This record gives sequence, C-alpha cells and structure tokens, in this order.
Amino acid sequence: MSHAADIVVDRLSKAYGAFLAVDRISFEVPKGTIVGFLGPNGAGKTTTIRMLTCYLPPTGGTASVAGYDVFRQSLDVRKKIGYLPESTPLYTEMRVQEYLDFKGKLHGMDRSTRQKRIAEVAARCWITDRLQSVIGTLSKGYRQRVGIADAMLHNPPVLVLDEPTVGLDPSQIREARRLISELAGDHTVLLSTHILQEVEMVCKRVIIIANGKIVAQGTPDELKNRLGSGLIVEVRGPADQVRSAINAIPGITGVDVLQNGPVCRVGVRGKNSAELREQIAALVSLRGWGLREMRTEGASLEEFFVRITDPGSAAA
Amino acid sequence: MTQNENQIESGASARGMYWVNLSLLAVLGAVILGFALYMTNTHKLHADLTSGGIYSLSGSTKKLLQQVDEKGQGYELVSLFNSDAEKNTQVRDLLGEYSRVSKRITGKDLSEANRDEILGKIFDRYAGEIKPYENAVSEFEKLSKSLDNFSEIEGANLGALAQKEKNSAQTRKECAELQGFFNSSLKEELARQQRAIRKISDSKPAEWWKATASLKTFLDEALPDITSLADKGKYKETFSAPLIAYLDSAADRYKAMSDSLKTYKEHLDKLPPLKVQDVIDSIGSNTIIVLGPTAAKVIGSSDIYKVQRSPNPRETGPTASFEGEQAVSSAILGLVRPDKVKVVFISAGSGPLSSGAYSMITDRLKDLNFEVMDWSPPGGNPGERAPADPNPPAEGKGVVWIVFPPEQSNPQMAAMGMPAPSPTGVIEAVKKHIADGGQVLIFAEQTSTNPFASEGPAGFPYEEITRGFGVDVKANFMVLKSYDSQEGSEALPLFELSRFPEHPITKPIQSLPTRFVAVGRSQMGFVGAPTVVGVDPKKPADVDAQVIVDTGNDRSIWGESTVSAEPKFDPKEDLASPVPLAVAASKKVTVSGKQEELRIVVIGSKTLGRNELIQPQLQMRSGALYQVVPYPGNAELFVNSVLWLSGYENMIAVSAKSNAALRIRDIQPAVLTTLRWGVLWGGAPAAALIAGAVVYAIRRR
Amino acid sequence: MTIAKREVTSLFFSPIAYIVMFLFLLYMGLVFAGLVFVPGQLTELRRLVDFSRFGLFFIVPLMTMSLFSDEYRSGRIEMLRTSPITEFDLLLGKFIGAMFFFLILLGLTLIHLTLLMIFGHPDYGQTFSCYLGLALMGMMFVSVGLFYSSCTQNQIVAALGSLLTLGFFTFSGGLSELIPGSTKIFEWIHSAMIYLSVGTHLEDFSKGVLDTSHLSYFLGFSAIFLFMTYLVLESRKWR
Ligand SMILES: Nc1ncnc2c1ncn2[C@@H]1O[C@H](COP(=O)(O)OP(=O)(O)OP(=O)(O)O)[C@@H](O)[C@H]1O
Ligand SMILES: [Mg+2]
Repeated sequence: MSHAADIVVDRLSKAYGAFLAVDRISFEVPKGTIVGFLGPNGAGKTTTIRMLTCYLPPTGGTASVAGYDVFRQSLDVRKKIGYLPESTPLYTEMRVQEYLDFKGKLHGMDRSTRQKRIAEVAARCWITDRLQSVIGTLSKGYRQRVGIADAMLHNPPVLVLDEPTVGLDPSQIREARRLISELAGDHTVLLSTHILQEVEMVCKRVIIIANGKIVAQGTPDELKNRLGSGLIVEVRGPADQVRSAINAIPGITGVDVLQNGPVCRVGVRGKNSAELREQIAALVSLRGWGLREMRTEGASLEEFFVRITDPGSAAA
Repeated sequence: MTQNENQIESGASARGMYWVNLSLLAVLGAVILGFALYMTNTHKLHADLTSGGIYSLSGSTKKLLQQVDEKGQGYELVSLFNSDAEKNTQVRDLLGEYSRVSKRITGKDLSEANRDEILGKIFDRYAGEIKPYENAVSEFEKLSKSLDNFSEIEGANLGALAQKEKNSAQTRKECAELQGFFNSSLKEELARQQRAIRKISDSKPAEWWKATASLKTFLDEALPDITSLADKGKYKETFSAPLIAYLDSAADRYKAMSDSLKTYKEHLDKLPPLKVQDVIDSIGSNTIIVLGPTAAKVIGSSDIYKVQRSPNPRETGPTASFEGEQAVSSAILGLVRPDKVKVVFISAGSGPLSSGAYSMITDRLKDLNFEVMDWSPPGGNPGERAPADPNPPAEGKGVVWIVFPPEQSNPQMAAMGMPAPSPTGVIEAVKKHIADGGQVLIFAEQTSTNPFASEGPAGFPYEEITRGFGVDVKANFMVLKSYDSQEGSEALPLFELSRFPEHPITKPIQSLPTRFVAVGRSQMGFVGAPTVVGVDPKKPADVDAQVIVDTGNDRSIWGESTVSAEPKFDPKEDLASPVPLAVAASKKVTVSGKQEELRIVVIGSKTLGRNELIQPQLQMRSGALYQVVPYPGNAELFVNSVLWLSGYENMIAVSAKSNAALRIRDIQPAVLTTLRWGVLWGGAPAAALIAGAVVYAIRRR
Repeated sequence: MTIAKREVTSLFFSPIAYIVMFLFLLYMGLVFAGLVFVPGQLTELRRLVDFSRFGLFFIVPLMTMSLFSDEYRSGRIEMLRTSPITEFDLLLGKFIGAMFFFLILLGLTLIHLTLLMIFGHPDYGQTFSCYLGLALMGMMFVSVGLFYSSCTQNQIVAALGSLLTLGFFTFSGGLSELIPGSTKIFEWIHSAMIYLSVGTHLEDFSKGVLDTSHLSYFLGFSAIFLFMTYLVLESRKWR
C-alpha cells in the first residue's frame, strides 16, 4: 500500500444475501488523481462507493480512505470524504443556502467558515443565483449542482462522485468536467460514470468493473493500447479471400468484414500497426487486389468497454 | 494468504464483537432499568406540589397509619361517592393517599351496586354479634312446628265444636271464629313468617335481625291472643258455656304453648342490640365505609363535605370544605384503638349539656373518637331535680373536663327565692381532677354587671384554679364592640374574629370567622358576655401560658369595666385592643413520680360552642339554597382546644383543606360561548391552520 | 443539535405540523371547554391532562411518523449516514427535534391556562406538575413514534405501528377490566396492564403530586424505546 494512495481497496466484497454484488475487488487511488470508475449498470459501482463512504459495511475485505479504515474509523473517513450520492437526495423543503448551511454544521464548520465556503462552492457550481430557492422547486440539473456543491462544501481531500453529470445540459457537463479536472492535485477524486468521453477527458486512470469484479484498470491510453489499434483497409477484391489472407498474417488478432462487394472493406485488429500496415500492403499487391485505402483508426475506449464488459464478446 | 484471509474475516469478526458489545449494553441497560423501576416502585419518593398540600396527609394521620402498619391488621376504605364526578375524584384521591402511605390499607371506589359485597364484608366483621340472632331464628324453626301443630289441632277441635248440631248458634259462631283464628290467620301468618325467614336466610349476606324483628312483631300480635285463651279468668265473660268448657279442658296445652312462645320472645328481647345494624343503616350513596379488622364505620357525606361560609367575601357560590381526612382518620383511629378519650361536660346547675345546647359539639367530638359525658355536682342545684348521673365523673389523667360557669340565677329564679347554684362542688372536683393529672377547658364569663351577682359568687368562681396556671381572668370586664346604628353608635358584646395569635389550637382556624357573643340580655344588661382572659404577668415560672385569642388591632373592640346605658371606651379604666380572650397554659408537674404536663385552656366566652353558633343555616347562594355554617371558627376553636388538651394536637392539623379559592368564577353565557367558539373550538385551531397556510404560501414563492 | 434544529425548522415548513397543531388544539379545546372550563369547577388542568392522552395517542404518531421513514424513502439517510455524525447524534437530534415540537404543542395550551388564570386561580404547583407529566408522557410517546419510524420507510406503517402501541398504553387500563377470570395468571396480566397504562402514571402528575415510580415509568419506557430505535439504526448499518 503506497503512502501516496488516498483510497486503498483490498479484496473488498459485498453480498446482498446470497447475491455477491462486489466480489473481492482491490484497487488504489493515488493522492491527487482523478480516477474513473466504470462499469455497466448493476456492476457494483454504487455498492463499492457506498462501502467507501461508510454507508454500507463491507461483507469482507478492507478499504481505507485518506489513511482511515472505513470500518473502524468510519467517522474520520466521513470527515475526509465529500460524497455525491447517485440519487442526490436533498431536503426539498429547504432553501439551498439553508441546506448547505445545515451540512456545514454537520461537518462542524463555524459560522464564518460556512459562509465563506458556501459562497465559494456556490460560485464554483454556478448556483449563486439560486441560493435562496427552495430545493424542491429546482430542476434536476440544479439539484445535481447543489449535490456537487454539497460534496465539496467542507473541502474534503477525497471526493467520491457517483454519476455527477447526470441531468446536466451539455455546456454544464463540459463545465462540470472542467471543474472536476481542476480538482486534481489538491483532491483525490473517484468518479463513477457511464460516459466514456468524460473519463477520457478527465481521468488519469480508469477502473472498469463488471459483475462485481474488476475487469481492467490503467490509464485510458493503456487500455486503448491493450485493445490494439485498428486498420481499415479498402481493397478491390473478394471479401472472403481478403479476410482469410489478412488473417493469416502473424500478429493479426482479428479481421472483420465491414463492407462486401466488388470493393470490400475490412477492419483489421493487431498489435504492431506500422509493421502490419507494410505487410498488408505487400500482401494486397502480391495478390493483385487493388488497395484503395488504408488508414489507422484510433481505438476508442468505448470499444474497449463494450468488449471487456460484454460477456458475449469476452467468451468469443 | 492466511493473513489475507484474516483480513477478509476481520469485517465479520468486528461485527460479531460489535453485536456482543451491544447486547451486553442492552442487558446492562435492562438490568439498570429494571432495578430503577423496581426501586422507584418500592421506595417511592413522593412530593405534593400543590400549594395547599391537598394530596398530603397530615403528620398525625401518618402517625396513625404507622400504628396501623405496626399492628399489621388490614383496613379497607370503600368510597361510595359516585353521584358527583368532582367529589368522587376527591374522595378517591384521598383514599388512594391512605393506601399509598400505609401498606395495610386498601382504597376502593365502588358503587351501591356492590352493596352485597360490602355487606358481606361488614357481616364478616360482626359475625360474633350476628350469630345469636341467627341461632334465635333457627330456634324458631322448632317452635314454629309445634305452633303449627297446635293451631292445626285446635282448629280441628274448634271446628268440630262449631259443627256440633246441639250447640247454640252463638256458640257455633264463636267456635267458628276461633277456628278461623287458628286455621287461617295464625297459620297464614306463621307461613308468611317462615317464607320471610327462608328468604332472609337464602340471601347472602343474611340480615338475621330483620327476621327476628318480624318474629317479634308476629309474637307481639299472636302471644296475647294465645295467652288470653290460656287464662281461664279472661274469657269467662265473653264466651258461651260449651266453648268455655272446651277451653278449660285444653287450658294446659294453651298454657304450655303460650309459655314456650313467651320464653322465646323473652329470648328475642334479650338479644343484645346490634351495632352492625347501625353501620348498615348508615350506608348510602356518598358515604365512605371504613372496614377495620373487627368493626366497620360509615362516614356520611355531611361529615366529609362541610359547607361553610367562605372566608373569601369575593367568592360566589357555595363552598363546601372537604374534611375527608379528618373523618377517615378519626374513623380509623376509632377502629385502631377502641379505648376512647373521655370528655366530661361539667356545670353546676344546668341540665346535661352534651345532649342540650352543646349537642352539635358533642357530635363533633364523638366523630373524633371522644367519649362524651355530663356531670353536675350533686346538691349544687337544690332547686332542680338531682343530676341524671349520680355516679362520680371520669377524672384524672387522660380525661378532659369542660367546665362551665355555674348557671346564673335568672330574675325569675331569684324572684322565686332560689339561690344561684354553688360552684364549690365543681371547684373541689376540678382540683382533684387536676391533681390526678387531668386536663381542663374552662369557660369564663363576665359577672360583675349581673344585678344578682351579690346573691351568687362574686367574680370568677374558678379563680383559684386558673391562677395556678398563670391565667388572669378579669371577670369584671365585658368585651364590647361599637357599631354604627341609626341612633348613633351602639356597643354590643357581639363581634367576630378571624385572626388569631399563633398556637397549635388556632393554626388551622386562621381566617375562619369566629363569633363571640353574650348569652343573653336582661333588663339590666348583658348576661354571660365575653370576658377578658389574659396571661397573668406574675405567673409562676414553671407555667407556659399563651394568649390564643385576642381582638387584634380592632380599635372598635375594647374591654369595658363599667356598664352604662351608653358604654364608651375610657382609656383610664377600660382595656384597649388587643384585648385577650382566651389563654392556653401548660405546667410540668410530677404526678405519682412521673413527669407530666398539665394543660388548661380558658376561654372568655361561654357561648362559643353552643348549637346556635355552630349549626348550619340555610342560605341562598347563586340561586340555590345551601346549608352554610356561618361561623366555622367556633366549633373548630372548641374542638381544637379539646384536642390540644387531650394531647391529640396533631389531629388539629387534620383540618379542612379548602380549595374554595380554586374555582372558576361565574362567566356570562355570552362570554363563555364567545370564548368557546372564538378560542377553544374555533379560534385557536383555525389560527394554526391559517398560520400553516401562510407559511406554506411564503415558502412556495 | 443541528439535526434537531433542522428538524424543527423543517417541521414548521411542512403542512403536517399545522395539521398536528390543528388537531391538538381542537382536541384540547373540546376537552377544556367541556370538562375543565365550566363555571364553578375547580380551576385545575387536571382533567385536561388526564384526557390529553386520548388525543395525543393519535396526534403524536402523525408527528413522528416521518422522522426516519421519510429519510429512508427519499434516500437522504445516505447523506446523513455519510456525514460525520454518529447514529447516536442522529437519534438524539431527531428526538430532541420532535420533543421540541411537542413542547411547542404544550406551549399552545398556555391559551387554556391563561383562560383559567383570568377566570380563576389555578394552583401553580399543580399546574407545574401537570405540564411536567404532559412533557414526560410526550417524551414516551415520541420515543415510541420514533421507534416505529425507524423501522420502516413507509410513513403509514410507522404511524399505524405507533398508533397501535400508544393505543395499548393509553387504553390498557380500561382494557384490563375486560380480562375475564380470576386465576393467578389473569390477575397478574390484569395488574401488569394497569401498570403499563399511561393513565395510572399520569394521574398523580395531573393531581399535582410527583412520585418517583411514575417518573421512572415515563423515563424508563422512553429509554427502552429510544434504545430500541438505536438498535434499529445500528442494525440498518449491518444489513
Ligand atoms: N440493497 C440491495 N439489495 C439487494 N441487491 C442490491 C441492493 N443494492 C444493489 N443491489 C444489487 O447489486 C448490484 C450492484 O448494484 P450497484 O447499484 O452497485 O450497481 P451500479 O454499478 O451502481 O449500477 P448503475 O450503473 O446502474 O448505477 C445490482 O445487481 C443490484 O441489483
Ligand atoms: Mg450506480
């Protein structure tokens, strides 16, 4: 366990009755980094986050936040964590200002600190003009912003955000991402989301979880690389032959026929792409097919995500 | 790997520990809680927060209940107050308080529907007394059989006579009549008696004395008839010869029957009167029944609620003061210690006072478990018949004597040449009484203006007794109050006091109106007017004497030494307020080797306890008639003095706890309706709703 | 304390608070006008206090039903749970908040007391003990309500649960009369029911008498229900 890690998860598991929602996952989030927590619906993201925020007790394993054990030192953990729950539950009958003030008090902030911090987070989350509104009358997006402001209120070293950008409009999403990016350095952020661009843009690292297990983790680039880059090759020739021919080249992991006909287009997946390109070009000219086009296609995280979390393709 | 496994397990084991701790905490909490509940229920700490201490029993009652607990016999207090919710609660609270303080006492709130249950309990307590009655009734069974036989035979015989052709019509008619007596009236009556007896014996509890009473009346009617038939001389003139002949022949049988009936009736007559009957007769709604171990007492409603004139003149409506504790405590006292303190009314030359002018005070004293008697020295009153009780009175330690001045001979008596009764017999007796450790309440009376004083004893007759206690009776001073009347001011020996110097006797009567008045008025002046009774400045050192009644700083009352047509305060001769009117004194003496405290109370107004000043009067209050005691202080002062003398001063504190001041005053119906609709039912709830609506509206913006 | 304060301010912005106040004032007004505020009657709050339990046993559940249930249902419990406060703080905050509101309800009866003072002279010691008794009874009722609210996220279920329980405590004195037979066990049940009845313990307070046994009853049962609530809150953490 490195000293620099703010969140350390060690074989954490959670069972709802017989159903194992989180199955012995381990990961670390280094200090000052923003880590994306990815996974399909029902993967166990929220469950993991709830254990980290001391809302749910783990069934097994340990986790610590900012050096405190979530089980034994839960109060300390709670002090260090800023948490935006998935459903952003708020007191609808309160005004934004009152609500933030209340939360500030729960965190034991004194009056002047509260005032200062409320003004600050309100400005950062663009809710300054809505401070006097009753929360129940706010739109979903504004409530989400109040939730984010609430999570940042006590300036916690660790922020855990469960799908923070849900319900925000595109420009707000962009702003929110910028906001989160800005947090890097001072804050350690665990960001759960489905939106992959978000992760790519904001996160230094990504943890992908499916069916309660971690299926991959690393920087976005690493993961993309793991998938390998793809080539799109457009050839005038019979698709079947083209495919099997290319497939025979060592280092090729897969060929998909993307377009049939006199001119066929295939997608090629493989490791060393520069070398491959030469080999493919040589092969095509050897066979006498006309090479119309060949371009590298940057592998998307989305592709990786779908591939890695889709049980069907994993089996293939 | 094992270490890792441990780590994984750690969550579970920590959780296990946590639950263990929590359950330990729960068990510990439960134990502490259980202990606290138990302790607080067995060792109750109790505090009465009411300013009047309405729910606290007095010290003397508590002492009494301690005695009850020590004796270990159970008492049951049953309230039959259920017609009036307020009284019901008040009585229930009181009885609850008794049972709370004493483990041996249980309080119950029943209604008359439970009469049988209550009667059963009372009967159990008087079983010994009732048994002879039951036996007597069962004895009658035998007797009734023989009587039945007897009348059967006689009826048949007489019937035969009546049928005989040779008898004259007159004879036959007489025989038929007699036969009718035996065959129908007597037999029917007998059957009725038997039915009645069966009914009584079947009912539980059985009121046997009802059977004996009805048997008595039956025998009263039947016996003379049978006896007269047995008496040969009686019917000679009335009946015709054949019948007489028959009766003569049957005389022995008649005699035997009549004798056995007579013996039985004598047996019935000799049955001792039943106390239980009194008890049962006095049970009614709004009574409290005190069931002791061997006896029971019933306290009537009027003993519990005493209607009195309110000390607060602004108060409207009747004010009945609740004297339940006094009543219940004295009932319990009576059952706890059946030996009663004796009180003797003593006066030379008057009839029995306890049944006369002082009957109401006597009742009060009896309620408080005193035994009240009268005594008049023999020969002290030669003009009248000798006192009813020639026996010497109870005297000495533990007996309270109430000594009245000798009757003033009135003008008529004087005119008839009768001398005033002499007090010497009384004086001698009182001296002996005191020497034996007895206590005395003396009433002094102003005498100097009595035109016939020269004939009787001059001054205060009991001077030598009171001097010894440092009490100074100035019998030549009459206490007067001047009133403004139409003819100018007039002075009368009639005034009311309601403030008294602090003393155990007067403590509870503060603010109760108490009236002082002369006995009467003759042509020459007032008779038996209030007299100055003060503390002798030269009193013996071992005497503790204290003024308990004085006129305070009322300047219109003074002690007048000379009586003229228009008495006036003369600072040189007369006594200015505060004029003392009564003194309580005590003296430590050794009686037969034991240190004893002798007590005496001297009150300067003889009329204090007379019925006229004590009995309730009908008064109109808020449109209804009420019995109101106009001068509640009079009886209290009298009774409290006796209590103090008898050493029961603790009982004095058991006095009426009036919550008269705590009543809602009359409100005009219109105001009441407005308040109800405007505030209670309508206004306040509506205001809450409106406030809610307003807040809601503001918040929604 | 923060929780309590928020609870109270929140209550004042919710319609239920005013409905509770309305019902309370209406009930107390009816009892007061009918049984207490009658010319010639004793000026004491006694009967108002004695009868108050028949109103409070259904008013208090209305007041307490949402305390925890609503937090569960809305998910705010997650926010509270992840705030740096202990379960005990949470419970205490909710309890104090509800108690404060209850005391405000009691404060509303100053209207009645004022009327009594205008038209008579109530005994101050007794009045004090009346209010003390009411406050203690309220404490117990609120604890029961709090317990049921902590058990379920359905407010109606919470209200029904506390209504039934408080109904038992309120009427068990009367119900005990219905127990048939005179065997030992029935007698024991009978006396137990009398002991459990709120009326048994409220009466002395309303009379103006303080007694430790009654004090311990109210405090004890409040403690029991508060502790049970605490257990429920703790155990929620462990599911
Ligand atoms: N309280 C619960 N009781 C039983 N099962 C639960 C409970 N909460 C979650 N689960 C189950 O655990 C699994 C993981 O749920 P979780 O909420 O962690 O998923 P998620 O990754 O956050 O999904 P999403 O992307 O939809 O938010 C799901 O299958 C869910 O049905
Ligand atoms: Mg989720």
